[in-house]
Amino acid sequence: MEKATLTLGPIRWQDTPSRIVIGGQEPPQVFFQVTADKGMEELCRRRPAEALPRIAPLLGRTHHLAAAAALDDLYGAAPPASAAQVRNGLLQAQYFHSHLRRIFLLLTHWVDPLIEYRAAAHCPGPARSICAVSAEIMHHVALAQEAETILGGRAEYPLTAVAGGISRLPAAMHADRLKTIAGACLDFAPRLAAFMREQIFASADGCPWLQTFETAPMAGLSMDTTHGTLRIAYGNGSPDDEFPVSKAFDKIDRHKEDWTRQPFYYLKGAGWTGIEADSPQGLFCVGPLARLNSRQEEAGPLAQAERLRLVQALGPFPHYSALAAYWALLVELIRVAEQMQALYCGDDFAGTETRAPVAGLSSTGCAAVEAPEGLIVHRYEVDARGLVQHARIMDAAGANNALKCHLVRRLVRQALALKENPAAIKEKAAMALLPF
Amino acid sequence: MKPKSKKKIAIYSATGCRACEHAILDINYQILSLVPWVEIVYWPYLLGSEETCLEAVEGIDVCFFSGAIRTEEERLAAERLRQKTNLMVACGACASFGGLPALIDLGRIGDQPHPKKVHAGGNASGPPVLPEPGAKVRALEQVVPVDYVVPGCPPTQSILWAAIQTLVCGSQALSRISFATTLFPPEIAQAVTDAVLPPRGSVFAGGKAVCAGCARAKEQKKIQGALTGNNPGAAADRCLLEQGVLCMGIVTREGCGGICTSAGLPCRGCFGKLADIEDPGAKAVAAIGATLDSSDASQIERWIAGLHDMSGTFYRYTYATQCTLNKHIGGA
Repeated sequence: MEKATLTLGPIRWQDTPSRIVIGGQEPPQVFFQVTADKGMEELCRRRPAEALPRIAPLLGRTHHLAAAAALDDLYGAAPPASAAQVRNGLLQAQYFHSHLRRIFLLLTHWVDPLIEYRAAAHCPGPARSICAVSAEIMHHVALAQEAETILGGRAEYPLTAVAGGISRLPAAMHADRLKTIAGACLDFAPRLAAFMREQIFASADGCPWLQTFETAPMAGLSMDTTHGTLRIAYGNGSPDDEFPVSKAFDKIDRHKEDWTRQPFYYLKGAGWTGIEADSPQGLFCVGPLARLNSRQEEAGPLAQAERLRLVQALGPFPHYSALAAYWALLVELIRVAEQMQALYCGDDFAGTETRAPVAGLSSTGCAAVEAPEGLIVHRYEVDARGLVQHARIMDAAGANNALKCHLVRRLVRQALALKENPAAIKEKAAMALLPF
Repeated sequence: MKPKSKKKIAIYSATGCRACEHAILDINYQILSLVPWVEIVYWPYLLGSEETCLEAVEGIDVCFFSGAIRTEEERLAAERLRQKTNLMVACGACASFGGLPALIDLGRIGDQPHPKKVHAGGNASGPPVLPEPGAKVRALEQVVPVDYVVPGCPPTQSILWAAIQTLVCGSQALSRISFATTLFPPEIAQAVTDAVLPPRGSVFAGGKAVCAGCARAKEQKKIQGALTGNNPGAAADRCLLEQGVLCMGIVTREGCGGICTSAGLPCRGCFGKLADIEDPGAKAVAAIGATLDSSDASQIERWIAGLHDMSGTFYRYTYATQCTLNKHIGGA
């Protein structure tokens, strides 16, 4: 006789409302269900393309930059160097903010952020150090927000990126403040990484636990920012596949299921083979771990040193565990802190030019940006008036939907075999999904 | 000062981007200083709170509800929270006016009605069922009565902090007077500084238009040339509307400090319309029409020929509350 269906939700920390549904049959069918969507592509339809950078952040802050980059392509207007630097500076601050928030949320597994912090801060044991680090994280979140506000107009829903550049340069009076922020972030990022390594990952309920949350080996899709191309790293010995951003939707497609609002993205060449197989074909993932899996080394010395520590502890890339994904957040946190330092303290940061002249309106604009959460791609088709007729947007949550379903299915089956209670399964799922 | 008892707080987000929840979480890391005053009893995003938590808890003091209501599940959540909450706060433009998610309904005008989706399964052996989408995107006030509104997309930190201090901490607040109170109309500013609740229905935002706080100079109060929806190349110090850029600052509540206009971009109205305006779109059309410096109909026609998607511009954040016939649906 079948057992009743078990629903675990909402899964905390997920940007899209999500839950896990476990069927009553043997072996149980497990679904990671996203229960609501924002209808972004439909919402863009009939809007002037120029309005999209201010609408797209409904999907997340970095979609502002992706929409503006798609407009650059649509209007044939490559931003001048100074505008590109400001956009890049904003993107780095968004990374710092986003990665710090995820680390903060992870720490809330050990110490509830909403208990009496001052009392916990005087407790002996790990709670005390976690409280101290959490307070420091929140302080640096505020600093990253400040940098985002200076460069993007505001932290959430940034404003300044427009077709062909930016709407205004940061005021000269903010130059020193940005340098101070970069210095503070660069000081903090390696310290936080050391804390996480020594106090969390090495603890009895840290490393071994997180390492067991592992998805099936999957290709990684990321952007080669040097050449402006997209790359699929298969990670199984097959040569990487590299193609221009404009061909993104020639290479990838999506599949919809009736039981979730989130589509599944897959590689067109392999076709849609479903998410049930243990060794999935044609599926891919994006995000910090996918980026690290596809790179040989980090640009900055401190980030490279952290990458080597990861390799020393977990083995060579590629990795597919939640622990590696959290560690990837730390490597990237250090990398962006190094980039913020180099950018904000550069003599030529934010020069004088804001915007390239708009060459003319073409019928299609396409761009990709490596957002903190993972690769996002925007493609707009417009009419002669510049009104969007069709928008195609791949965001990181959609691109990682297959990965999340895989991860949840494995985790739940393992937990059920160990007869763990639903609350424990739900908490494990939240922790396993957070870094992806 | 230690509070006598902690206030029970609920935080919920319907359809939106979570920026309002992040704004609460990231409120210059002051969220931690609220801990002595509050007990968060329901916050699905941060705590994973389940519906059963809501059933078990009684007497929620303040609920910050963000996001627009798009699904049946979200409507039920709004109703349950309203039943259990003393002060219901619409937090952010989506909860207050429908916000950006409601634009999806504007895009559907003229389309065939969407067929009701029938989901397979739902029993123990089939795939799970999805919450049914509602016919239209709604603001919170279209579903349940709302006590206070904290507008913005997302609300600015200073205004959000002032609202939290006033509604949650009251007389025990660490600092009652924030600079945000200088932006509020006198009756709200007085309530905030006196640590009493402002009149129900108050909007935590300015009483004047964005133009009143905009640093850009209004020189001619005339538009002499073509209007555009967006012109980031406009002169940095002069009123955008005078330069032919369609700016909603003339009909929108201040409180943001002119964030968009100071970034060289026109206001899009995320703080909602001014209290004495019935229809912000109609008012904006009237104001712009009166400012166009021409009596030649064909010239005016040429000037406005470049404007598109006027409904999506005039009602960018208020489409649900301004442009649907069923303004007040359900609720006690």
